[in-house]
Amino acid sequence: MRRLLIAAIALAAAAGACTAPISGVGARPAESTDPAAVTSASASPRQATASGRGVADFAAAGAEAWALTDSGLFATSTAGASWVAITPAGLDLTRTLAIGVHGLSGWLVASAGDGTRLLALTTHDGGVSWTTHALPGSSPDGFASVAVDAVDDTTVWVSVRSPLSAAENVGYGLRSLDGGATWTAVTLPSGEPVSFRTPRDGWQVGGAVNQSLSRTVDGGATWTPVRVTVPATDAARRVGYSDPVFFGSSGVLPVFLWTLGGGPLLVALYTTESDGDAWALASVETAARDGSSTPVAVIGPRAWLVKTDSGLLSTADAAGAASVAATGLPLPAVGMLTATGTTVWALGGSSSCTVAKTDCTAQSWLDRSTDGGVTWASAGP
Amino acid sequence: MAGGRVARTRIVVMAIVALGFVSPATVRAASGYTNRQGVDACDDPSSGDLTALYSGTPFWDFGYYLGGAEAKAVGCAPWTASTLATARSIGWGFTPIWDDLQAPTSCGPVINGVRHDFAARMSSSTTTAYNEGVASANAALAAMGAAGFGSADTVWLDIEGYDRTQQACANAVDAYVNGWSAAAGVDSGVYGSASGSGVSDWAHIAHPPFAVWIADVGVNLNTVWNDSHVSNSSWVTDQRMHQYRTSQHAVVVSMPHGYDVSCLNTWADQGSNLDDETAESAEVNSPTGDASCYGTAQ
Repeated sequence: MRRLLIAAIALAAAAGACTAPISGVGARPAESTDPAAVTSASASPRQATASGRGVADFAAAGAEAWALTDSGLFATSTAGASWVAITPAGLDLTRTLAIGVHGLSGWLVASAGDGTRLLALTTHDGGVSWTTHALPGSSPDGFASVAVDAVDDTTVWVSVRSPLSAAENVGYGLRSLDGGATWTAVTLPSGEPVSFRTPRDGWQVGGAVNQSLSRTVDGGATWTPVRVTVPATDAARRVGYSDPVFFGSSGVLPVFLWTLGGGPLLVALYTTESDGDAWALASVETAARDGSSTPVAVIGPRAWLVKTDSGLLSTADAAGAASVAATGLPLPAVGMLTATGTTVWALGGSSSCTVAKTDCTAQSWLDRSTDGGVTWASAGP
Repeated sequence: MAGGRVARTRIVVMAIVALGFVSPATVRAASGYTNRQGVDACDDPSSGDLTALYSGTPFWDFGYYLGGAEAKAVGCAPWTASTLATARSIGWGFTPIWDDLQAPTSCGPVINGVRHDFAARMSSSTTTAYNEGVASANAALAAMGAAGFGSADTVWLDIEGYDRTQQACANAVDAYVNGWSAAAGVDSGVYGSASGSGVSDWAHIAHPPFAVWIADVGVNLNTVWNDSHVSNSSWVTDQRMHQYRTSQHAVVVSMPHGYDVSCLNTWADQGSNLDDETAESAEVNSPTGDASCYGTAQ
């Protein structure tokens, strides 16, 4: 399951009454090829997609993808060609914190009550009907961030980051092994999202600046630090990990290398053929001259796209990345890339203010490519 | 005295800053009272991120990690002179954070049933903790000077939430803050969780911090007032900040962990863009004075 946490989802906290029990029942309507016709969108300063909706969160697995917008939750099973509204009835969007999808099953996590507790809304029929379950535990100071990892139809993880300062990356996990009916608290190395290859084999980035990577092979009971060997010429650089992406036993691990105070950001791409037991450096790409972090989309076990200052770099054989003449993609505004199957998704955005930094608004949008990043088109719901 | 009128008069300091490659003729550091919004983050941002986060947002000030033992242990590296100069040239002001010793061993916060002790911890002895606070302040003031900040600029001690069910833990933390404020004087600011760090305790110690940075996310957006854990009658004279969002992300900003958002009603280094509050003397405020920060809540 790929997920993109995008932005500006307000932490729903103390204000407001308890969210009413949420359930939606009825036949899933046909997907519309006219995104603007899916449902009427309320006026919002974040509207920016073709239909006028700002995209707040996105999750995809295989052909199924969900987009949480400022006017509701939408699903596609056509790689973004058409979308259908699946917003649970009564959902308070300002309380929605994270989504995850796996086939027709999906999970949405929202805050409840005074913002110190969490609810999980579950569907196993593509959003036609929903059930709500309270998640165990509470956080007196609320939640800094929440993420969902939908491993399969039955195994789901919710990771929670506690609202300490930016320096402290502390949190915990909540795991369901029955599709979301019951949940158990699990200790995690950090408050970051988890990414499970199988129900037992999972990974988590950690540290204040993503400088650590941990792995579990027993379903989260124990975690072991993982380190890759950085090229000797880059040994003085800082290291930042991202989640590995797997295709069976094969996988790709993007690692970011940078220096304090500027200088180029390097993206080192490691591959494995052994479930992640061993990683070998495949290539190193120079991405951003000023050291900005950059999005990477892993398309296959030896194929990926890397955004650079000048365009997209692509490889299909784990080496020799070449520039892609991408058309239809406003590359400088692209903040995130991810791939599911043959579809590559790009999330972009911008922000602007009137005079003197007042009345500021942010816009976001979703594009897709089905030819490896060469041609792009709007995919927003 | 936290609850009283301003304890000292600060003078707007205009200084020429010559840092790195930025032309000293175009970059002036100015300090004064502000009522704007700001961000903070552990990341070492790129010039592109500094520009993206300043342009098109209501954010004027950046809280970056200046140093301290906990910051070093967790990987929040101090910005280089080059990054500071770049940020100044863009227009950023600063609220430097000193992330040093945290609550003693076995006093870390209990999160979902598991205790998380910090990497760098103060003594459980109140006498020793006080002295550690004094030493921390002296180190922070030296670092402020080395980074080019004015002698009147606030440096913000980071006190993370801890286990307040143990009185001995609270006593040690309060003693540490007491030592910090005694040594830092009018430069003493302290960041803490409204409930988890015991901010309200600090109004009653012998040397209250001159200003507090109250972390209470998701409530009282874009104002420094009306926190349920901190009385409006404490720190009333442009002496507050309120962190009301954490881990925010923007598509145009590549910082992996995003940023936190605060409303500032305090003295701060403001880079080259002075808030009009700067022309004022310190004010005794209430929720009706400087009721919110400029710009819409994020």
